[in-house]
Order: sequence, then structure tokens, then C-alpha cells
Amino acid sequence: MDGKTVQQFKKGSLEMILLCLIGRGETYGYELITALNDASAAVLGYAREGTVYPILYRLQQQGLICCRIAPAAANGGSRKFYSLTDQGRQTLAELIAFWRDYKTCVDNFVAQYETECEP
Amino acid sequence: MSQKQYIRRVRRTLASGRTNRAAILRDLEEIFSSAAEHGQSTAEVIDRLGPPEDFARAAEEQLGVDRPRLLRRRMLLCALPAGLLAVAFFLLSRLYAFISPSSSVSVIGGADGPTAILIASQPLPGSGAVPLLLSLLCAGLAVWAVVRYFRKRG
Repeated sequence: MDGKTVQQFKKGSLEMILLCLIGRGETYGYELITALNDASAAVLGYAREGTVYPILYRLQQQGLICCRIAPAAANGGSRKFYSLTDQGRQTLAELIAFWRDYKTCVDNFVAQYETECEP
Repeated sequence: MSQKQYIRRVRRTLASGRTNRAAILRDLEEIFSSAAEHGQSTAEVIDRLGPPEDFARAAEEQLGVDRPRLLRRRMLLCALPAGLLAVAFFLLSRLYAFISPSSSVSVIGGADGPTAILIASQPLPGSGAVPLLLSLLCAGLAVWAVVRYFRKRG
């Protein structure tokens, strides 16, 4: 399978997946990466900080997520906790609705192809 | 590459203002410390982050930072003071040459006859050569910055 095609799929969906993960409750960077890898590494490949953090910056820039910094007792440093804003929650609801239509649309094409062309 | 070297290279690549820069560098510290907390090595984290220059560019791109414009502005901010310093050092070198002729003898009260006093002046230490050299260095820096400005613009 062409790596570029898969890459495009992942790129488009990662933003929504991150919004879903953050929408489940306040979370921080390492937890997000771990959650992504536990649930989707087999399909989406291993999540990398180099990919995830720039998207987090954009989501924050767009006002879809907000963050607060709290001291992290475990490593003596600090930790940035992300949560959804009201605008983020609304955007996620719109994205989910779009995703469902999109999925149905693509599934229809796949079903037609399978019925007509596959032996 | 160590954590410090990685962060230094990211810092060097970033073109954005203080707020974005501080946030990105803070996050990097957290990425490294969280990974260490879970027993991961620096090399593993760096592998996941990718090259520092790519990380810095990707972060700024997603933050909507106009990198080329900021880098051009940085070049101008470098060229302007360098040019001014070049002129200042050049004027200083001329001033040295004016107040400190290599060696001169003057006479006070020569017209009054036998009580004339002879004054010999020595050249000032380092004379005009040092400011002239500094002036050339600054001019070189200014020219370099202007050339880079126009290259980035083109």
C-alpha cells in the first residue's frame, strides 16, 4: 500500500482523534501519546511527539483547546494539562457529524465496488 | 545528541516571538522529563521528535508564524546596528588619527624667547587601527545581513 496515501488519511484524522482524547477529560502530552499508541498504533502507526505537539499548538491557536500548567511531582518539573474549550466541544461535535457522513459515503463507494467488481 | 543540544538547536531555529518560543521550549523540557520518568532514553525521545529544525518549523507553521517574514526582519535588525557601529568605529578611527598624529613636537611660548617649552606627544596606545578594524568587521556583518535579507526576500 502506498505510504503517502495512508499518511494523508492519518493526517486528516489525527486532529479529530486528539480532540476526542482531550474531550474525555483533562490530559497531558505523554498521556495523549500513550493513549494514541495503545489504541491505534496497529492501524495508525506509533504516535510521535514531533507530529502530535505541532497539532496541539494549532488546536490551541484556534481556541479549540486550552491548557494550564501545574507542577509535576513525579519528575520535579511541570506538566501542561489540556482540556476542550466550549468552541472545541462544538467543533468536535461538527467534526463527528461530518465524519459519520464521510464514512457512510466512502463505505457506499466501497460496497458498490465490491458488489460489482469482486468475484 | 543530548537533550540540551536538541533544545539549543530548536531554540536557534525558532523565529517567533518570546511567548511562542518560551511555550515550545517549555514543552520540550516536559517531553524529555515525562519520557525519562517512564524509563525512556533521550535517544528514543529524539527519534520520536524528529530533527530539531523540523520540529521547530512544524511547531511554528501550526502556530501560524510567518517564518520568512520574521527571519527577514531579524536580518534587518542585525544589519541596522551593524551598519551604525561600522560608521561609529570609522569616525572613531578618524578621530584617533586627528588627535594623535604619529609623533609631534610643539612649542609653547616660542615667541617669548628662552623660556619656550617643548611638548612632545606620543601616539595613543592602539591608535586608529583597532576602531578601523572593528569598523570593517561591522561593515562586513551589515553587508552579510543585507545580502541574506534580499536572498530570503527573493
